[in-house]
Amino acid sequence: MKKWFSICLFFFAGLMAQTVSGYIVDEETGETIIGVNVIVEGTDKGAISDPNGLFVLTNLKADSIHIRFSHIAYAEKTQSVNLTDGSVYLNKVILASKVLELSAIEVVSNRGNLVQRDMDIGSFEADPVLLKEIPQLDKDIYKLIKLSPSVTIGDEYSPLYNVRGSDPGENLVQLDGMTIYNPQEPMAGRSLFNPYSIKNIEMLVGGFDASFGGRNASILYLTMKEGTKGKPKGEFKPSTQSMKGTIEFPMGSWGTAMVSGRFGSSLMQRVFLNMPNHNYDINSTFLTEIGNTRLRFSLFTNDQYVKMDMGFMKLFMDDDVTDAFDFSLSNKSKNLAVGIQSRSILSPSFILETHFYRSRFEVDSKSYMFISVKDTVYNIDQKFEYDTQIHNSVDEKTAKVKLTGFLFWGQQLSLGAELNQYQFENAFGVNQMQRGIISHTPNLLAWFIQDKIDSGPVLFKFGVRNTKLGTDSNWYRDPRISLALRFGDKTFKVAWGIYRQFLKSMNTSDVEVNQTTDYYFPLTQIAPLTSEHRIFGFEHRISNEWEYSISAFHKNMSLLYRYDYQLALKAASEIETLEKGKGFSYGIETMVKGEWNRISGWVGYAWSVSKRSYPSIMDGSYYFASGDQTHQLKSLLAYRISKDITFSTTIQITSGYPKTWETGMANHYVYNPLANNVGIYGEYITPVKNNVRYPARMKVDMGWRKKLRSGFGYRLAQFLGTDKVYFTMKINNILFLRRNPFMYIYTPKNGYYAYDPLAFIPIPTASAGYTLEF
Amino acid sequence: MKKIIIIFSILTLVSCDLPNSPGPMPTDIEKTKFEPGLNIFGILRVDGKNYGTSFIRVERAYLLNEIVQENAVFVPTIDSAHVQIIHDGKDTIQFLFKYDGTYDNVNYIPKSGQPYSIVIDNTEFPVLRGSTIIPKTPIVNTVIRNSEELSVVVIPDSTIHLFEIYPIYGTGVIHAKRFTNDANKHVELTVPNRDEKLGPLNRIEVFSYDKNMSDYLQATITIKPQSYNEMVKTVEGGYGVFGSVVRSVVYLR
Repeated sequence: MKKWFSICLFFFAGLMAQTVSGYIVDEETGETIIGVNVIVEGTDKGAISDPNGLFVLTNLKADSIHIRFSHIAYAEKTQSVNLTDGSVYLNKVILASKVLELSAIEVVSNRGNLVQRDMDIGSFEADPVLLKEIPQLDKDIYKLIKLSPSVTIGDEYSPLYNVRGSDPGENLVQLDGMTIYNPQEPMAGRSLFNPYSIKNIEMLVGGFDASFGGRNASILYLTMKEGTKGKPKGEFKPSTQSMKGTIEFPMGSWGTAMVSGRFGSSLMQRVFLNMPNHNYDINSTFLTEIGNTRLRFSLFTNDQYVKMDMGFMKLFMDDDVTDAFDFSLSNKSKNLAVGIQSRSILSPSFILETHFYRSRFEVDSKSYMFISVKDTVYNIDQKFEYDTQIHNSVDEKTAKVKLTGFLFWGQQLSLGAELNQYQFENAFGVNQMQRGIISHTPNLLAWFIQDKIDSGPVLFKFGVRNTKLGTDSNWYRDPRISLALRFGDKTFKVAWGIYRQFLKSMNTSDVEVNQTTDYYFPLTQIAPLTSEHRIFGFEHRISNEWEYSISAFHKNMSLLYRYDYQLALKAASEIETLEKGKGFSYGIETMVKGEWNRISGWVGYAWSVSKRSYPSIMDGSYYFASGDQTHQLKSLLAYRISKDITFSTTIQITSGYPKTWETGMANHYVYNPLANNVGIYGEYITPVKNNVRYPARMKVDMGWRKKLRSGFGYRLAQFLGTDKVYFTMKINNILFLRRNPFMYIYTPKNGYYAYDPLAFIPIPTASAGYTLEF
Repeated sequence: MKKIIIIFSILTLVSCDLPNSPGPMPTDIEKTKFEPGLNIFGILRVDGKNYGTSFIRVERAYLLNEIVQENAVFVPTIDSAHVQIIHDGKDTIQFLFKYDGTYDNVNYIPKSGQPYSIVIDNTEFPVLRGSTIIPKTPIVNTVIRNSEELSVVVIPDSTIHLFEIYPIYGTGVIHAKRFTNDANKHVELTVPNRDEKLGPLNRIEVFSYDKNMSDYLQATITIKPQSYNEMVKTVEGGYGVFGSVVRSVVYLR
C-alpha cells in the first residue's frame, strides 16, 4: 500500500509539473515563426517552435522563470513567467525582425524542429527560400528533394521518385495536412506545387512515428503561407508562357489570408503544334483565431491538360507519311483539396487538434499509335496499332482528431483517430477494348497512441498505430519505437517500426506512353503492403555553422504487390490483377551541411541496394528495383558573391538506373478478320527484368540571382510600384555534350544510340528572367 | 580555388561526348542470351465457306542487327517448316508453304467446338506446339431495326472469349467493337443504319475468338525500348499464337 501510494504521489507530482506554451509571431506581419529557440534561462530545458509557431516547455518547477526566445532573423527577447500559480499559456510572443547581414544564404535550415526533427532520424528539411535563391531548381519542390541522398529516380524525366529503395507509390505528399494524389505535372517532370505559396518544406524518409499513416516510404509535408497582418506583400512573375504570383494580405479583425496562382499555356504550341496544353492552380489559406483556437482554411486546386498529336504538322507532310503514321496522347487531370484545421489550447498542457478535409483527384489518359508500311516484296504490311485508355479518380473525405498532453517527465502523450471515406473509380482500355468503371467505396479507420519522453540525454518515443480498411478487415497494429541519446553535440539515434499501406498505385510506365501518373485503388479484402524499417543514425554538430550525419537503414518489404496490366481488362476487380511479392533495401547515407564564409549548402553521399522478387518474373529470383542507384553524390552549394548577387551550383553524380535490355525481337501480328490477313510489327523480347544498368548520371547546373538597383528591370519594378526586383539566370547541363540517356534507340546503320531529349542539341540550356516582389 | 577550377575543367572535358557518337553505353548486370525460336501466327477459321481459310504464318525471332535492309521490309519468314494440324489428337493434316509467306491447306475445313493442336518442326529450331478449341458458333439476332438504327444481340457460350463486331456500310467498315465474354451474358450493340460517308448498313460480321486469340489480341505491348513487358504467347517451344475464330454474318436488306 505504501509502495502504491509512493507511485501515485510521484505520478501526480509529475502531473503537477508546470508547462508554458504559446505561439511566437512576427511583430509586423503577425505570421507565426517556425524554428525559434525557446530556452529557460539557467536550465537545460528548451523547445523549438513548430510549423505553426507553437512551442511548449514542459516539466518546469513552480517558480518564476525567464524564457529566452532567439532566432537568426529576429531580435532576441527574454520574458519572465511566474509559474507559482500553475501552468501558463502565453498566447502570443511577439518578436521583432532584424536586418540580416548574412554572409551566406540560409541554405540549410537553422530553424530547428519541423514536424518532428528532434527524433526522426530520416528527415530532410530545406528552407523554401532555396526555391527563390537557386534558379536552376526551376522553383520545383521535386527538384529540390531529389538533391537529398535518400531519394533516387528510375527515369531521367519522370517526376516520380523512390525513397530509400521503396516504390514511388509509397510516398505520401501532404499540403497543409491534406493528402494530394499524383502531385506532379503529367509528362513535365515537375511537382504540382506553387513555390510562391509554400512556407515550409519537410520530408520524412523513414522512422516516422505513429501519428503518420497511409504510406510506407516517405512523407513530404508542405505548409502553405498564411498571410500577413501588415501591408500586403507578394511576388509576381510574368512571362510569355505563364504567369505566377502570390499575395498575402490582412483581413481586418478576421485574420490573415494568402492567395496564390499560376497559369501556363503556350500560344506557339497551340497554334503551330495543335497542342492546347494548359495548366493552372490556385492555392489559398485563411487563418483566424477564436479565443484560444486557431482555424486554418486551406484550398488547393489544379487543372492540367496535355495533348499531343500529328495535328497541324500533317499540313506540311506528304500524304504517304500521314496515311502511314499517326499518334496522339492526352492526359487530363484535376486536383481539388479543401480543408479546415483547428488547434485549440485547452490548457497550457493540453492541445486539441482537428482536421476535416476533402481531397479529390481525377485523370483521363489516352495514347494511340498507328504505323503502316506497305511491303511489295513479301506482301506483308508492317502494321502497328495500339491504344490505351485509363480513367482513375480518388475522392477522399477525412476527419482527424488528436489530443496532446504535456505531462510529467517532459512527456508528450498524443491520442488520435482518423476516418477516411474513400471512393475510387478505375476504368481501363487496350486496343479498342474498354473495361467498365469499377468502383470501390471503403472506409479506412485508424487510431494511434504516441508517447514521447524527453528526460536528460534520453529522448524516447513509442507509439502504436491501428488501422483497418473496410468493415470486413482485421485491425492491423503497427508498433513504432525510436530512441535518441544526446551527448553534448553528438546524438545517436535508432528507430524500428512496422508500416502498412492500404492503397496500391499502378504505374504503367512500361506499357503506356503517359508514364508519370499513378493510378490508385484500395487493397480491400487482402493484406496491406507491409514494410519493416530499421534505422541507425549519428549526428554531430561540429559548430554553430556545421554538422554532419550518418544514417544506415534496412527495410524488409515483406509484402508487395505487382500490378499486371495484361489482366486489367479481364478482372472483375484490381485485386485479381495483383501478384504478391517481396523486396528489401539497405544502405548508408552521409551528409555534411552548413556554412563556410560565403558558401553554404550541403554535400551528401549514399550507397544503397534495393531488390524485388515476384514469382512470375524470372521464377522469383531477386532483381534490382527500378529506382536502385547504388552510388549517389549530390550537392547544393550557394556562394554569396556580394550583398546582391548569389551564385549557386547543384551537382548530381550517381549510378545509372537499372533497365531492361531487350535480347531480340519477334514480330507481333495484327489480325484483320475481314480480309483474313495479318500485319506485323517488331516486339522486343525481354526475358529478364532490369538486366543492365544505364551509365552513370552526371548533372551539373548553375544559377545566378541578382538584386537589381538600376537598369531596365529596376525601372520596370518602379513603374509597377514594387519594392524589389531580381534578375535570375540559370544554365542547365553545364557539362554540355554529356548525355544522361533517357533510352537507347536501335538504328540499323549505327546500332544503339543513346537518346537524351534535353541534351540532343549539344549545348547547355540557358534562360533568364525577372522576378518582382512587393 | 585554382585546384577546383582545374578539377572542374578536367571533369567537364572527360564528360564530353561528340554529338554524333552513340553515347555512353550501359553496363551489364546479368548476361542474358537471345533464345532463338519459331514465331507463329496460326489461326483455324470457321466461316461457312466451302474451302479452307485457316492459315499459319511461320517466322523466327531475330536479333536487332538482322534488320539491316536497305529497300525492303525485313521479314524473317521460314519456308521450310513441317506444319501439322491434328484434330482431336487423331487426324493429322499437313499445311504447305505458299508464295505469300503462309502455310495453308484449301481442302481443310475445321469444325466449331472441336479441339485441335499444332506441331511445327524445323531442324534449326525447337519443336513448336500449341492447341485450341474452336469456339461454337454464337447465336446472332437482330432485335430492333427502325429508320435510325439497328440493334443486334449476340448470345455466346463458354468457348467464346472475345467478340469483334464489324458493321459494314456500303463500301467500307466502321471500326470494330470488341467485347469480352462476361459470364455468357448477351452482348447487345446498336449501330446507325447509315454512315454519312460510307452509305447504308448492309451487313454485320461477328468474329468469335477462342481463349488464345483473345489473350493475344488484348495483349499489352511496349513501344518504349528498354521496358520490361511479359510477351504474350500461347504456344510452347517458341513465340506467337495458335488460336481460332468463327465468323457469323447478319445480312440486311
